Amino acid sequence: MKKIRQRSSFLLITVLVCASVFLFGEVAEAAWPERPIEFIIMAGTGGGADRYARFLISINTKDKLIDEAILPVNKAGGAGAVAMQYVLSQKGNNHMMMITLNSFLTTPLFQNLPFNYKSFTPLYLVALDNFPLWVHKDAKWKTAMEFIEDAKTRSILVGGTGSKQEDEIVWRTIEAKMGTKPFKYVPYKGGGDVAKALVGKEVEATVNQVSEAGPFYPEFTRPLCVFQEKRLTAEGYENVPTGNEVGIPIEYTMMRGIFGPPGMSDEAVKGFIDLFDKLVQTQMWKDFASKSGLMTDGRTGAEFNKFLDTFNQAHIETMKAAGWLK
Amino acid sequence: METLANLMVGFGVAIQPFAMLMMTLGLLLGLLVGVLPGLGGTAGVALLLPLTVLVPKEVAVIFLAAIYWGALFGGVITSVLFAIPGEPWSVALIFDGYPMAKKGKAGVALAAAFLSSFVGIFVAAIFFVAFALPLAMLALKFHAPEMFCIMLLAFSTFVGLGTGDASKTLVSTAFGLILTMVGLDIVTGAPRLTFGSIAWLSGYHFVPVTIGLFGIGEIMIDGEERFTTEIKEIIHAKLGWQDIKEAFQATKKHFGLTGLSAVLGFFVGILPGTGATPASFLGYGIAKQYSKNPERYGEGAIEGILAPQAAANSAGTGALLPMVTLGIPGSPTAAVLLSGLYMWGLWPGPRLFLEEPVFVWGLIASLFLAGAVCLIICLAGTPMLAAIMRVPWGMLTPIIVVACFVGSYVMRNIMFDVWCTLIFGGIGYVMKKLKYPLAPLAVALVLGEMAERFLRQSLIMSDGSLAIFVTRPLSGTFLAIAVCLFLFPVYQLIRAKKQAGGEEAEA
Repeated sequence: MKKIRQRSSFLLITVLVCASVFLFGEVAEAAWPERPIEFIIMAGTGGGADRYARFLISINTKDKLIDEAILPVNKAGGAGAVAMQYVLSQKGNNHMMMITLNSFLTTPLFQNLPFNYKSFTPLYLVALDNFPLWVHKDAKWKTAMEFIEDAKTRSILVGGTGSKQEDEIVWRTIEAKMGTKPFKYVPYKGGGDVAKALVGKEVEATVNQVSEAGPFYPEFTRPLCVFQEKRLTAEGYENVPTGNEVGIPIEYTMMRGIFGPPGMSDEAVKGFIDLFDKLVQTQMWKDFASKSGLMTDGRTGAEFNKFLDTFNQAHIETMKAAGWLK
Repeated sequence: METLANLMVGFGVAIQPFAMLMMTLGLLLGLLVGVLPGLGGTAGVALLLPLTVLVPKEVAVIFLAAIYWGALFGGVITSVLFAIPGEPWSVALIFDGYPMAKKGKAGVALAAAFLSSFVGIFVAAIFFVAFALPLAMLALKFHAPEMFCIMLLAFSTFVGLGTGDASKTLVSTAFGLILTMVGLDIVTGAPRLTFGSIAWLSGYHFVPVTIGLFGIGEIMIDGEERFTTEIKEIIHAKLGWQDIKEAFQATKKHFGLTGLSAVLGFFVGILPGTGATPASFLGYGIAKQYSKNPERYGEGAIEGILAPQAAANSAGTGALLPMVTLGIPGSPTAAVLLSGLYMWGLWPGPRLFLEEPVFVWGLIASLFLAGAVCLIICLAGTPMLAAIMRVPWGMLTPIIVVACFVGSYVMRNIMFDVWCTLIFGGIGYVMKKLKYPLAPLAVALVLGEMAERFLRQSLIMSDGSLAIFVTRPLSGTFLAIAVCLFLFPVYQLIRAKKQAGGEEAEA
């Protein structure tokens, strides 16, 4: 008898343990994220997008906003085409996100790829980054208009990252809108090389972001204006006028957006939005954003989609005007 | 005097037990990522970067820099033992390191590589302390035309690299140059030679290609030899300290060459956009050019290890100089460290030196300490590493092959690179059988991309006129040296013919 009782209690315990593991295991599994998140960077290590991605990850490491780790994966190549193709191949993966540059829009257009921004799940528009007009501190131009007037008389040597990408778009837009002579545009490999070119007087002007060119101001360089709606909020930049103020009606920004593969679950989308809502509230991010003069955005869902449609259309028009698209 | 006082402050930071502990940990991690082909110092630093928010920034930067130093040392191990480049800058180590290992002198080759690594780091550290700011300003004067002429200079030292048939060397170089053309055109942004494939847009990276050419190709040749002839299973790698003693003596004997390569490497390294890889090739090329018996190179000359490795490590260290002094990343690794500054709440740039002396000088002081500690770790491990050569071939090879493929994948996380390694393994095998030299191909693949970029940037600046290379004093000088080096083999050839002709006439 005793043996049977022993056996049955053993059985009972086993059943209970199994049931609880099953039940609670189920509960734990339902929560997002279930496993580490892959963070795709559509550029190489050390570039601007890479810096943002690793910065965001370091905030999560420090403040533990989600329980799982975020793993950065660089997929450079083809001006972002390789990264985009990879993310598209991960349909329904709830643990993947990608940080983008504007080449997210321009590369599919220019390279004529079989996909575009609509193929992805838009998650979060973290911020819009700036394009100031930088010259060397010894340059003769005191105002942006002086620069433009000079550019109407000769082809000025300018630099930027890559070709047929953001920086060149800005220069070609200035050309078209202000009727200057064509700029001699030198493509560099990354923002660091561009900064070096201006500091070393290899080129006469650049449109690097504050986060990349800022360290050299005021020792080596100075900004003449910034091509956006409102003035820069960063300390030391309050007196830099916008393009509109000085008669150069150009507004252009760099999209620091987060996208996921197609077919993500609603829960994962919500999880990502929550995560980024928390990330941009941290002191570490706020300090970085204010020093870099970022316009923190925070648009998601339908609003983000609307922004993308407008932004893409603007790119198509600029690229057509420059003769890059038929 | 002020510099010395600052350096003392720096040592005060770097010698703290916690900093030393993190440094040693960093070095060990760096050695590990250095050994794994494909997973380089840049990737290692980038991988651990977000974690460093958890320690004080002075320690964080020492830890990350230590990973980088470790990788600079560790990259040579697989190059010497298996002809697989652990790091891009250790490709040049294959040329003579691997033949030495095959002759049973793996221990000597490794120890020599470690010793010259140390010399490189040490020389660079002294330059760093003494002339950081003036050198950074000098580096700014090197624009695209100067950089192009330096690339030409590097090419010119390799003219005589393929011992044997000159036309085969030319074919090999041209093949390398064609490979660098694949991908996006840097000026127009249009795809080149990609045949409509998105994967090809990435272009051929030289790490997967060299892993295939040298590593897989060598394994196939080895396997064939073993199949046709009965080979003694073990290369007699002696265990013990004899090897290290021999390496010490060799380094002492060629100390001038090693030191000079280190100085040269440092100057190449501080030029933004170059890094350690061209420096190592330049070091190798020049050592060979000035050798009294260059025919020994490629067959296991110890100078062929000392010179490129000293240059590479010195350049790798030098690449940090523009980053620390001005905030300009001189190499991919420096760019990643720069991202770290933002994380630690610092703002890079010319003010960093003044506003954060403890941070900057702690890093500089750690150069000396890391170099010494890493040398000790490596030398202590050398007999063990050399003993790997005693593992039976049939057991070792599968592991190497797996490492090759994993390594080529992790470099850029694309499958295309894995196929590259496989296919170039075959190409390497065929080229070796037909006696085409592989080294010029590797050099062309590395330098070709940079040379093209600098050339085309220069031509945009000059509206297409080639005169820009001659009219600028610095680039003109480099160009003249490069042309002389190109013509040197021709001159030798003519002289040799004349002598031969003279002898005939006498007879």
